[in-house]
Amino acid sequence: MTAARVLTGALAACALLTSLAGRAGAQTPSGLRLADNGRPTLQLPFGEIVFRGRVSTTVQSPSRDRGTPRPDPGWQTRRLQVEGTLFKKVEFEVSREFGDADEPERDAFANIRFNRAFELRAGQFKMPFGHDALIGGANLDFVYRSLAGRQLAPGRDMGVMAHGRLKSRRLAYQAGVFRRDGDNARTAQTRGGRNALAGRVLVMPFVSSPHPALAAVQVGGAIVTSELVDSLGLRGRTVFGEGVFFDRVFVNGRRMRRGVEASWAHGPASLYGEFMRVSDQRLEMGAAGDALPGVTASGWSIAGTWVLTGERKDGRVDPEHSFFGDGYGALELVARIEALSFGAATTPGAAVSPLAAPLAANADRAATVGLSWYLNRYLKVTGGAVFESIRDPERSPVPGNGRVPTAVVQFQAAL
Amino acid sequence: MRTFLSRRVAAAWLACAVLAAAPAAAQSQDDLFDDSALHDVMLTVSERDWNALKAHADENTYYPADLRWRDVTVRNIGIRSRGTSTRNGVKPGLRLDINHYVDQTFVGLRAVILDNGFTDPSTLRESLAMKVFARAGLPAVREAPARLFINNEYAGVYVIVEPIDRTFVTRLFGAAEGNVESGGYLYEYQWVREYGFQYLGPALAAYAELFELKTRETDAVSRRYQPLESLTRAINETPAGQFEETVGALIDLPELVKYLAVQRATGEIDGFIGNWGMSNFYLYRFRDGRPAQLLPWDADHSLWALDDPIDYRLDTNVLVARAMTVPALRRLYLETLASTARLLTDGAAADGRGWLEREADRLAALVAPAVATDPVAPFTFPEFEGNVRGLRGFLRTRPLYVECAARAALDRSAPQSCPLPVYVEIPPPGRLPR
Repeated sequence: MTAARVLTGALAACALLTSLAGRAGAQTPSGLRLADNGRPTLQLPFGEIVFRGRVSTTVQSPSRDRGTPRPDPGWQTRRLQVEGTLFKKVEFEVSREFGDADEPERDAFANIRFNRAFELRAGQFKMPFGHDALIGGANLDFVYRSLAGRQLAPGRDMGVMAHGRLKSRRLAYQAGVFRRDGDNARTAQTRGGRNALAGRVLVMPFVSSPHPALAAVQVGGAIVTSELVDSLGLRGRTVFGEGVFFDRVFVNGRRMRRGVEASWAHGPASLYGEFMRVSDQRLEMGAAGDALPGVTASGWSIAGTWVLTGERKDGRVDPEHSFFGDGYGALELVARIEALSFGAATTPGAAVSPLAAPLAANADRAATVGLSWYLNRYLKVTGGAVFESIRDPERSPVPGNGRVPTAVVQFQAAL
Repeated sequence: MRTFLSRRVAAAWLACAVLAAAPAAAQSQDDLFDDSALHDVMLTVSERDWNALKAHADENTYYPADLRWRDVTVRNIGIRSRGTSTRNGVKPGLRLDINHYVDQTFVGLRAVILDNGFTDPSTLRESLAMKVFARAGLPAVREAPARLFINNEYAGVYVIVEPIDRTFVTRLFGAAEGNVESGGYLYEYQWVREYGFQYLGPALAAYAELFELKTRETDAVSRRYQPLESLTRAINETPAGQFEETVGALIDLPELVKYLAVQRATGEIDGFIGNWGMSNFYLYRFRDGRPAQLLPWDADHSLWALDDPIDYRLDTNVLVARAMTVPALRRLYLETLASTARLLTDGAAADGRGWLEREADRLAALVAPAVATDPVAPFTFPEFEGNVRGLRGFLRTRPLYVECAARAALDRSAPQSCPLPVYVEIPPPGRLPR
């Protein structure tokens, strides 16, 4: 706990110091310096090591209806990350989340770059599935990832993955094998699937177009399949995680994740969306050893962002005029609509049997609007309003009409 | 101006950086189930919902409420009416599901039961019986007396009861057993008709009707109910010479006969060998295949049957009847009867009060003022007082009979005449406060 507090203070202080110091040390040719991207970098004769970190805290509106009597001022994210390049060919990344007492390990992988078309990554990292799920935490446009990105996409796991870009960036691919099927479906109580195979293809069909706006269009698809051995399936949680609108059920057989995505960013604006579906089999789970109908979950999201102050949208916005320098930072307007639904898993007509388990369908829809204020490249404040609606009010954190409005503010310092 | 603002922002960031949530004054489950005090349980619920709950007390409809106990407040829990014979719309028994709407716990509990004691004028039987189970070394839920307040208005005396669920299993048998995915199977027996472990045939639905699964509810049907069918068939069809070994591998027979002995010694009429067949128990199947175990539940009809013989109705249940034919189990049953009887009268003071009678006196004095002012009490205060006197008489007389009868059955050379006790009321040492 003490170490975590020290880290939190150190990261926040570091972010401030670098804010105030500007790029005074950027010209240092060797040793520890601030790189052009503002990150502390240790330059070595055979490569470089970059130190990154992020702390953030989220305060949401207290609501008697949602069991949140008061805002929680604690730092929820305390991430420390070290990444680097050695001998020009080998990249590595190690990160640890001090805000997660149960599973603090995040990425820990090495990447060997043979050429642009073929790279090999091994270790623990995000499985290649889902647009929103693969965005780095510091680059998220919203306080929370999309419902589908958090709950249907697999997340991180141990594995080996080949990836690369072909045809002058027109085509990118990722294909890997993983020990299990990601930490999003795993909790202290649930193992999730195992022996996962994952593949993702991204295409920029107009990359050579003379129109930059058109060239930025990217579409893709991904698939992940894994084995389920009498384990608990996916659970539907609300945006802020306090409610379970679809509880886990036992599944057995094969889990199949399929997803399609599209994204576009040009100038100060960006637009992206995705759809994904997860099907879990329930083989040999019936009274006579027969298969029960599978459990299917699907989710989609569409999000748009617009930097009001005109900066180029490329992940995290870098204000042209820092609040600590000659301006007021950058402002970005963000909006997203999304849904996550789980289908009924009962056999038609079997609900009256005492052997039938209650597995009624349910869905969560959410709309989010927000405004991000980038004080400089390190500090960001995001405020937003989330309007959430659960189809079955009985399984909503707000019984009655099932609607859950919430205001949320996040403070973030990131190196 | 900008520098000033910058400094303020910087100061705010640094202040946030060193902020840490101050730990709240910790209340524990031990505090909640501390029965040396009368607890105040406060529920805030809309009047419309409370009236609907009472009007439809026979339904399991949930209503949102806020729970407050001491300095612990849990918002947006789900409450519903509960009970079988005690269900009513005047003083409803309540189940508080802490995580019904929101994923949260209350002092580590996912649910809390508020027993209305609707059939027990003393309000003490449930708690006293569970004390006996615990002191006999058997699994037992924890309980404590309480006053319930609905929207700050006193709504009657209740007993806070620890529910038998995954949290209870974890406390009793360890975290591995309580694991959602790989833990054991917990069944609540549902009284549908008089039943005593007769074989119901190979169709699993017959077992599912009687044994409602409380953990791993969505697991494969065969894993949920095939073991019950196998157990029941083994109980009914295993040859006599193999009964102890075969059935004992499926259900813990020594624990079973101890359980029966405690219920018989305490005059339970609605338990495993109750007057209406099996009732009020859970069956727990361990994850590692150890023999299953019974868990007692809802004991407000214990300390009731003053003059039931020690072998009363043992022949009405196939499992029990066959277990009693095994000499070692029969002997264990009788020995546990005797030891339980001694336990009840343990450390008798000069005034003749044994351990359980002293506990009854203590709890009666604790709850009496709350009973006297209970606006929806199903019994009058004189009835409460009279029942406490009868309870004291029970505790003074039945243990003597039980021990005598058990000794006589164990040792043919011991006196064989053990007259059944007769009803007597014994006033408490002091007047019960009102």
